Amino acid sequence: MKRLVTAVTVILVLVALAATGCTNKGLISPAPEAEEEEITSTCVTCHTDKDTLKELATTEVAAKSEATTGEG
Amino acid sequence: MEVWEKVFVKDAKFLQSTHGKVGCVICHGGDSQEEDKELAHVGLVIDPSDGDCNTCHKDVAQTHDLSLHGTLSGFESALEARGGDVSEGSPLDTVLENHCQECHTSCGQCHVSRPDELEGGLVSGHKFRATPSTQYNCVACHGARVGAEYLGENEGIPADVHWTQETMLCTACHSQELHGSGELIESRYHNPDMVKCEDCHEDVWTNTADNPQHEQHLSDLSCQVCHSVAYKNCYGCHVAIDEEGMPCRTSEPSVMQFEIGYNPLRSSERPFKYVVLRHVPTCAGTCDYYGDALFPNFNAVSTWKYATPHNIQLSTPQNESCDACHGNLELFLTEEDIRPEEKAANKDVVVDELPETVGK
Repeated sequence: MKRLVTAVTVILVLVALAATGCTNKGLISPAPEAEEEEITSTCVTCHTDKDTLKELATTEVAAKSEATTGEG
Repeated sequence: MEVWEKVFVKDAKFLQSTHGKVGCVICHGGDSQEEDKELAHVGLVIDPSDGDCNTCHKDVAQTHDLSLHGTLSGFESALEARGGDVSEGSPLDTVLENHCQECHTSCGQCHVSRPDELEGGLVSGHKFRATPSTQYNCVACHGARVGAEYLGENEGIPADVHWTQETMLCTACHSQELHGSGELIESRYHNPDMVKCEDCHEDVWTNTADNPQHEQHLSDLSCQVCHSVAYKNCYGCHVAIDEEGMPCRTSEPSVMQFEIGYNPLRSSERPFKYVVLRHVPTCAGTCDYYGDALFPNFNAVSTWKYATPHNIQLSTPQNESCDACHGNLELFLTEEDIRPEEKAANKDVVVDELPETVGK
């Protein structure tokens, strides 16, 4: 009888401890979430943005002689 | 094309492609972490395809390095044939550098961007096109003559039937030959992989019984003699440096003509006696600005050259009947058609005796 009471008591304590762990997360420090490493490229950022290109793109056309006439 | 469009990578899928995953700076240099435009572009390589393609596309890149597009060897061979010295540092080497190099075509200028001749710019948002664009690549450079002929842009001259009947783009015929054969060649007509009419029209050669004109003339006339029409001929090109120090050139107005003459490139590949000839813009004084007598043997090569105009028609004025051509002075390049200063150069291509009429 005494052993039965002891076993039941232990089981109840274990169940209580387990329930506490499940419901009170504050007792366990969460593992730090791995930070996602984001690869950035200003090339892509700029050259895929139409509005940015419209603002920044400059004309660099090789000058051609005005003395050239006729067809090439 | 607006200036911003030239560098707009508009297709996000490109970034996930094999080329896109390489990373911008691997090919183009610059600094992908720098936000300032000027600093980000330090060390920028606008067209990295003059060399970088070898890494993965070794076979093609190596043959391209010896191709006509890559080397412009056709220009050099033409100058040398007239006795010109094109060695490094020579006056003609300077001519080539100043006036001809802009036609050099890198891999990217066919497969990614427009050629420099058309002021560059991405064709399809940095997509690597296995097949170049007819509009933005081929005709961008080859527009004055072959492009205009093919598309029917010369007033009163019809477009080529390959375009009007089948909407064939340039690459339908001209594909891997453009990468070169791995050897330097003299001209496009010396390319062992050069496209020929019989590549598709084999039946014309195997079934001549149905066509008396084919039966009679397949071996002595190039196809264009019967199936081409008037095309552009150029005259009197002169190159120089202007007062601002920029390369310039002048030429006489072009003339639409159709001339049949003797074949200047007769060979086993081109056995024809009669071919169509086109006048080249080069004259003895073309490079006079750079020195005297730069072509000591100018007359060694005709100024009317073997031609394959891209304005093919099934029915033409000259193939209406036998005598539409035979005895027709208007069709043949005769002594009267040659400028006095070019008589000697063209003595082997001028038709001295017209084919007689046959009464048909």
